[in-house]
This record gives sequence, structure tokens and C-alpha cells, in this order.
Amino acid sequence: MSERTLLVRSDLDIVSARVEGRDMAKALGFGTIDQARIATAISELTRNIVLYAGEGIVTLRPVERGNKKGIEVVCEDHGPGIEDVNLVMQDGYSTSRGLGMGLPGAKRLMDEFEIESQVGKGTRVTARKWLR
Amino acid sequence: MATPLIRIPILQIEDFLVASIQVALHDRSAVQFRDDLLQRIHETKAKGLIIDLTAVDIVDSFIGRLIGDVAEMAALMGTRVVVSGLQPAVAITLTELGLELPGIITALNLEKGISTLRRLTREEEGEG
Amino acid sequence: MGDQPLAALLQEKRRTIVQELTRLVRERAGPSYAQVAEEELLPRMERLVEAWQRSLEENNPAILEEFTRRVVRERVQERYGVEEIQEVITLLRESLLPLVEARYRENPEILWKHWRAIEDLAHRSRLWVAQIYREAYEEQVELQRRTLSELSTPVIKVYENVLVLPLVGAIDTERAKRIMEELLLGITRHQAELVIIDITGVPVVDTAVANHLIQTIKAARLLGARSILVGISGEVAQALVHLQIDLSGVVTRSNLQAGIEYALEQMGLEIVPRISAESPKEAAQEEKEEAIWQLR
Repeated sequence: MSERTLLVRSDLDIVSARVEGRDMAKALGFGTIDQARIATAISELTRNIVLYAGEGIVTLRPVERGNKKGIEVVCEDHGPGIEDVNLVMQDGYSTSRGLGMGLPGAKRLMDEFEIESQVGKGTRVTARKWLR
Repeated sequence: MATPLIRIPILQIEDFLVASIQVALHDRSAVQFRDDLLQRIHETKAKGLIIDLTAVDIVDSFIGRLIGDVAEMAALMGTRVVVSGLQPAVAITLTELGLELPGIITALNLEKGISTLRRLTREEEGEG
Repeated sequence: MGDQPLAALLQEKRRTIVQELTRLVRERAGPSYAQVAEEELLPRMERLVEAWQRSLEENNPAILEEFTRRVVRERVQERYGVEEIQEVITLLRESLLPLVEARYRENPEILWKHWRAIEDLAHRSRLWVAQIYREAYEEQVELQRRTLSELSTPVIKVYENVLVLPLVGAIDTERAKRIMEELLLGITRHQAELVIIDITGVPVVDTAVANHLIQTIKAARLLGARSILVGISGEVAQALVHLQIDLSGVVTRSNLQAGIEYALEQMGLEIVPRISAESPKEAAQEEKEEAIWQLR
């Protein structure tokens, strides 16, 4: 199975991304619940791109580490960036529909979560979920 | 470029409105759905609204919050909202996202949703 | 790493090597091998020697690694010890060295070259065995743990619309997720509206477990099912208060019986003793007659 890269710039793309994510998760052998977690996390992350950066790219790929198999989701954009990542990742933080609202939720749904962001440059979020 | 807007049909059964989501809703269609619902509630003064999610397998925070908003606004107009048919996978992801949907009554399926609404409105009328 | 002459030697002396190796393995590799009949072990040793030969012929250690992987995984299932399997490699090496020595005695440099090839392959094989054994073993343990975990999350329908989820043993994140999934599936399957979660058998209730429980209860509510938590011991109650876990909004009862009674109550039902058809006078008469019988 190869990776899929999708351009995300509208709410239609959010739906496409999460359906692709769900399909890839299913093909990789994830159960129904984990498929939903992965698809929902993708939905949260890509919505962030659309709302705050206007457009970006999401890449979905199967990954392996040792004898673990899983899925990796990478969301990249050249949007305004997040000034204080730690603050934004705190549960309950909200700037009433402000930047980064989907991030803590997506983090809870996935097993690994990394975020790099620079103001003025953009943001990259990498999230992984492993088969149990 | 016009995007295809999906309109979810809203049916009237007795004193209730029933809307069953059968397709994947993108954000703009979801917003349209919310507006259509509130419009119908206003027109019909329905006692209850059932949103059936049996066919929905992914619900993210946008839709989740939207449903919560509908319930709040409907309550202001005197309409009870029941959400039926939430799939286990969806219930789990919503819980893990931290969305609780307070003020929403839930039912396992459409049939139970209708009987719940009937029971609740009967109780209310009994009190009146 | 390839060694054509050595491969050729293995081909030429195949029969002798396999027979000698089979004998040595049954005698010295370990109890698991001692129990294998000669007719059964012979072809296995033959395949091992053949794998060595092909690896050397084609200068491709991956052939032997693949072979080793397959075999070790089988042996783990059969509960062979890792030292026993490694001993087989040692014994093979022991069988080969004298052969090579005899063949190349006159030429120490060549002898040394073939010796090195054998040592190299034997050394690598032992490492592969150790590594694959550990992986396969851990996989087995994990599989057993999961099976046990599934067995220990039964969801029982005790009455129309009422489920009981008895939890026994420690609950980690993995298990908590599984419990939540099983419960929700049970609610869907049995169309349950009330769920009694019994934690009498859960030894430790810390913040993590409490939060898992609360999440499960919230998720169940989204499916239209109300939860009743029973079996909170005095100790656990203290711990929950101390940890400032907010269980308000969760109905609790002391034990399973109380929980079931509450659930039935919620459905407008209650358990009452059966009323017999006779009148009180007839019942008293019957009692008297029974007493007379006993006296006799």
C-alpha cells in the first residue's frame, strides 16, 4: 500500500481526507472504533488547515516500527503558524473558534502526536496510530 | 464555483420532526441543515425533533457542536431534541474529543427515539 | 560471505552431516529435541543443512535468516527453549569443522577461510534465533493477554433492557478501551437502556481508572443508556474523594443487588415474593400438618 497525498482547501476536501483515512485504516487492519478515531482526527486536523491557513496538504501513509504496524498522518500548511503551541495544546483552551481548536482532540484520538509551527511560516502536524 | 449543497429532508410525524442523515455532510451542508431545522421548528412549532445518525460513521467536533447548538436553540423555542442511532464508534470518538452534548436526549435507534419523545411530551402535557 | 567450495562440500557430504547432526541433536541439544523421533528429526536437519548450503551458494544470508525465522516461530509455539535451538547450531558447527579440516588440512589458509565462513554463519544464526525467539515469545504473551482481556469483559443481559458489566482485575488504558467498546456493542446488540457497572472486583481505582469509567459512562449515555455504578468499597470511595473525582451525575449503589433493584425500579418494575393460591387459613392448616408429620 502506498501513501496518499491530498490537497486540502475546502470543506469538501475535509470529507475526502477523512474518508481516505478511514479506508486506509481499514485496509491496514484497524478495527471499526480505531478507524473512527483516525478518521475523526484527520477531520479535526484538516479543518484546522482550511479554517486558518486556507489551504494545505495532508499525507496518509502506512508505517512500521520494529514489528509494530500503523498509520501516519501528516498535515502541512503555510499559514500564519501558532505562536504558543503548548498553550494551544492544553485541554480546554479556546479562543472562541480561534487557532488550533482541533489539536487537543486529535491528539487524544491518536497514539503519537508531534507539532511544529512557526509564526509567519506555517505548521506541520504529524500523528500516528498503531495496530494493537 | 458553486459547491453542491446537500439538503437533508426533514419529515413531520405527528407532532415531531424527524431528520435522518444518510450522507457525509461537509461543513457548508451541515450549516444549511442547522438552518433548515431551526426554520422548520419555527414554522411547525414541533414539540420534538429527532436527529437520526444511524447511517453516520464519522462525527467530528464540527458536527458535534452543531448538534449541540441545534439542541440549545430548539430548547429556546420549546422543542425537545433527541439524537438517535449514534454508532458505538462515534460515541467513543465524541467522548474522547471531549464533546458531551449536554441537554441532548439520546436513544439507541429511531424507534426508541420516537417512543421517548412521545413519553416525554405526554408527561409534559400531564403536568400542564 | 558466499563460499562455493564449502557449499559443494555440504552437498557432497549431505547425508553424513545430516545423520551425524540428528544423532548429536537428539543426544545433546536438550529435552525437547530428545523427545523427537529420529525419522522426524532427520528431515528437519536436512532442511537446515540445505538452507546453509543455499545461503553459501548464492552468497545470500537472507535465505538462512528466512529459514531460521520460520523454524524458530514454530518451535516457540511448541515451547522449545531458546538455548536448545541455539545448541542445534553449535552442534552443526561441530559437525562441519572436522569435515572441513579433513578436506583442507594441507592448505591452512584455505582451511582458515572456510572455517571463518562457518563461524560467521553460525554466529549470525545464533543471534537470529535469539532475536526471533524473543519477538515471537512476546507476540504470544501479548496474544494471550488480549484473549484473557476479552474473556474478562463479559457483558451480561440480566433482564430486558438491563445489562451488567462485571469488572474483575486491574484496568489499564488498553483494557479500559476494550471494555468501553464491548459495553457499547453490548448496548447496541441488546438494545439496553440501563447498564450496571460492577467494580467490586477491581482492586485499584486511581485517577486513570476513574476517568476511564467516567468516559465509558458518557459514551454509553450517547447511546441512550443510563449507567449505575456499583461495588465501590469504602477504600475506593475514600480514594475517589481524595483524588477529587467528580462522580456527581453518576448513579451509584453499594452492590449488584441494589443496582439491579434500582434498574428495575427505573423501568417501573420490582421483585415481589410469589403469592400462593390458598387462603391464609389453608396455609396455616398445611403448616400444622407438616409439623405433625415431622413429630412422627
